[in-house]
Amino acid sequence: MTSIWKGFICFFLGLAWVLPVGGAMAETGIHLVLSEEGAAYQEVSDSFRAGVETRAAVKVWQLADFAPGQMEALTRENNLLVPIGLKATRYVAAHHAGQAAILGLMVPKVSAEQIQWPAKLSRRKIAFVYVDQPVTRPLSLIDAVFPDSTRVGVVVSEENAGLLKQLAAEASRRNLVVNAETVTRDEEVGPALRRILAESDVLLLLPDPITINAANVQNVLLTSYRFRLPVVGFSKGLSKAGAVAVAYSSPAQIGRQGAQLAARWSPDAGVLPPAQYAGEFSIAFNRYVARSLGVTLPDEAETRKRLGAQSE
Amino acid sequence: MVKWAAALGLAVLTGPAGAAQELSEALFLAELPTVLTASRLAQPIMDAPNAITVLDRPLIEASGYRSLADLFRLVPGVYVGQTKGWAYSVSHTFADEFSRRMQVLVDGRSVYQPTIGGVDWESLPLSVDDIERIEMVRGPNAASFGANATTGVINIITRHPADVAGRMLHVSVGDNGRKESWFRWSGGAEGSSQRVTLGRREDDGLRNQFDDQRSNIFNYRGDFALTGGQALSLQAGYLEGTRGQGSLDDLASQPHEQDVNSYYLQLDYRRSLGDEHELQVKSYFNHLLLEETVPVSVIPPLVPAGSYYQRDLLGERWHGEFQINSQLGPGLRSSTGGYLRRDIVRSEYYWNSPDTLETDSWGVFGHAEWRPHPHWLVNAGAFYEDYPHVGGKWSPRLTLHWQPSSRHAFRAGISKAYRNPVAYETDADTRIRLIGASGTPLFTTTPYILASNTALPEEMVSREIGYLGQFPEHGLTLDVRLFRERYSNYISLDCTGASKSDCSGINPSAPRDFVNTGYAIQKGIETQVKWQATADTQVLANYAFLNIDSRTDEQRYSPPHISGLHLMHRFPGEVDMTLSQYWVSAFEPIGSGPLPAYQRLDARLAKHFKINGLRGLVALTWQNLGKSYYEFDYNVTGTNLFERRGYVHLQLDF
Repeated sequence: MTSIWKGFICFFLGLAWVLPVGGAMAETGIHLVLSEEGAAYQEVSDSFRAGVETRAAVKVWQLADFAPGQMEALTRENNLLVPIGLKATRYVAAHHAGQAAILGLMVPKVSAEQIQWPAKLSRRKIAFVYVDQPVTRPLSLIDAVFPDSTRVGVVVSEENAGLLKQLAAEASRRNLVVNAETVTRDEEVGPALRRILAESDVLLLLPDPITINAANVQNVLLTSYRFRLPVVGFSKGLSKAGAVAVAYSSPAQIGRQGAQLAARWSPDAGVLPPAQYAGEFSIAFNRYVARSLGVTLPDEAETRKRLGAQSE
Repeated sequence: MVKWAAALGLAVLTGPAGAAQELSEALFLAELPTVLTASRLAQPIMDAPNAITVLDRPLIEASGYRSLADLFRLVPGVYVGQTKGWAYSVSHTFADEFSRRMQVLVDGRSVYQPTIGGVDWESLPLSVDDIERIEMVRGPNAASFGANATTGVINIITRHPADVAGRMLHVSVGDNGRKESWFRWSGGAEGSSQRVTLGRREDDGLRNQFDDQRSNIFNYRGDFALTGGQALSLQAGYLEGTRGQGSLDDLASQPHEQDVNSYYLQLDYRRSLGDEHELQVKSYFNHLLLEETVPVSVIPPLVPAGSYYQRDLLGERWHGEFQINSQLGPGLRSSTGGYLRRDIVRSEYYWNSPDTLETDSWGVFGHAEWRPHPHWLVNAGAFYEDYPHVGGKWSPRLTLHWQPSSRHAFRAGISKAYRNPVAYETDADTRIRLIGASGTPLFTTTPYILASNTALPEEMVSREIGYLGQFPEHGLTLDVRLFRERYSNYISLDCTGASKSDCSGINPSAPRDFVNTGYAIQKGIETQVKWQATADTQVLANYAFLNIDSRTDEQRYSPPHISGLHLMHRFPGEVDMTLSQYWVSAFEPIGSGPLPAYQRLDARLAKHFKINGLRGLVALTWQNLGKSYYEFDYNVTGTNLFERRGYVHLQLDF
């Protein structure tokens, strides 16, 4: 008999373990899912939570905390899942049970477009605030910072062929010429870069894991410097590393934008506005490198104003 | 055990890199190392304490020049003359045969000859195809480069192997029997790249001169990125050849061949010490051996037919140096370092001894670049060197810059520079050891030159004002330098006898000696205008005026006016044209007769083409399209006639 009681106790303890999730399901609300513990993810989460109205309960999860079945339980209800980063978004997609809306934050557009969602999930329930920038922004930055430059060099992998097309179209509207090379493998980057550098006034780095990554950033920047060409980049890290000018959206800016989108979500309708780039972005200059290259940088505050950028 | 652990660590490190082919936010968030650290960045020309002319790769190519020394015709105030087909005098004031008053560096390696001074340009194992850019400091820069950087410094920067990846073949033929062929291979992976250049060049030299040359050249450079922000560069070069020497008019040096054997090894290491500091270590070894058996004219009864003597000359340099560049604050940069050097020379002809003569020297330097205000910059620095016979000497410099906007930079500076006498000037005991046709020694002459080793170093105090203006809306860059230089303790070769005739003849009764003979005050202006008239048209205009008030033996040692006008245009169909017109006024080079004023027009027409991934270039170049003129007129008047020359070039990159 005692063992039967023990069995019951275990059963109810087990229920108690599961129940908090059940409670959340019943409440329906916003669930932030952080891909990792890093400061950037926390920053998105903080600015998202500061931006959403108090009417919605926001629960914050670390991706690593999910037990099997938990995500399925969450997405079976009319929740809003807000994964931060590609890894969390992927996880949500892989374990989606068909009901919850998804707002992916800080995910690169090209990767977001490749995520497989359940077939029955309405596409109007999926939205993103991308981590990258629309092609207009770096081009406007080039216009503002290097007004005499007309030839923009770009090296991308085949994955970004679409982006390159957009860039070329936008560049031609601005009377800029894009010198582009497409590569398929890491080892092709160096030679392609040198061919491009010889015929360009400025090198534009586009987010592409083959053409620019932590392993080759030193080579890319040193080679450009040897060719005395300024580099325009897409992250604050690149600015510190040696890119003369960068346009980027900070995690806080992405989080704020996410909160605005979430405000237009309701558990009943469940639909979200279309995927978008962060409306807010910042710029950063590397004055040391600019000076060494003989580049005269415009006033940073004025350039920010001109481009509609914000100070971080 | 440790090795295994390291291998595992490497596998772990490369793992994520391989998986990073998918684009995630990590690339946007990555904390990247500062690649272009402030301490690593080159000082922009606008902030430099000197006037600097940059000859970049497109300009070097557009000039069509195939001899390194010819390129300096593009620099304002520089006189380039040929004392022989293969012997160039490149000088920035004080035009003499040896141009001893300028420091010349190839990737930081001094190629200044420790034997007789100056640079033997054609003995450098280097192809013009392998030069990325040349920076020439117009004016003294001993504070940064030490003694001998008195009237200028030439920095030749060779091309990074990664930038010339692939294979190149260059063939050119033309007048004066000029034939050149070069092959270059360059390749490697990310982080390590190497290039090898092999070449052969020959020509018949100037008309009426015995100055043909033939040389085979090898050049290597390997660049290796190591872990932890370290980089290593290894270079080596070798040249062997022969060249014509002597003259029918020169009794003591009848026409003959000189063998040239030149090589070097260089190792450079650089390492980031955090974001604020960078360490550079450089070491190199240079070797130049010239060997010649000099036939002598018959002078009965003293010198029978078939007599000759040996005139070999060996010069070697061992050099090691370090430098630390630091960013000490937002507006303060510094550069400090030091060197150790051993120069070795040997020549029984020049120094009357079969033994080597060694000269050890060392130096330390420090510089600061301080920007107390966005519009103001101060460059201050000094070099301290210890040189035998001379002792410790300071070469200081102070420059104040006013940059009211990013387009205009004004500069006022004062500096002091020394030129240490070379082994020839301190220890020469030059005699001919005459050997008969049968190989038996005949006699040894009295010394022609016997250095008393009393000459003090030449000293230059320079004051200059500079302006650098950029007018991007007009595509214009303007560089102006106004200077006043006091050059004292000028060393000249004087006869120690009662009259000059005592120092002549095959057995002079008195030798000549290197002595300080006075001073000269040079005042002048140099201007350079670069105009990008259209996307396809560039104009480069140089003008230099020099006023010499000389209290030395030499009065008109540099042309008062040197001008150059260069037009570069690209026609549709990738056809490039260059026209270069030079005007040089009359003067009297040191050790030469008077040289009349001359003009010279050079031209180049080049067509680029592409066939199935093969890029190529066909070019025609002409030197001196106008009438013939006299180059640096060494000793025997009327021999250095520079006539019109044409060349055809074919270059293939594949």
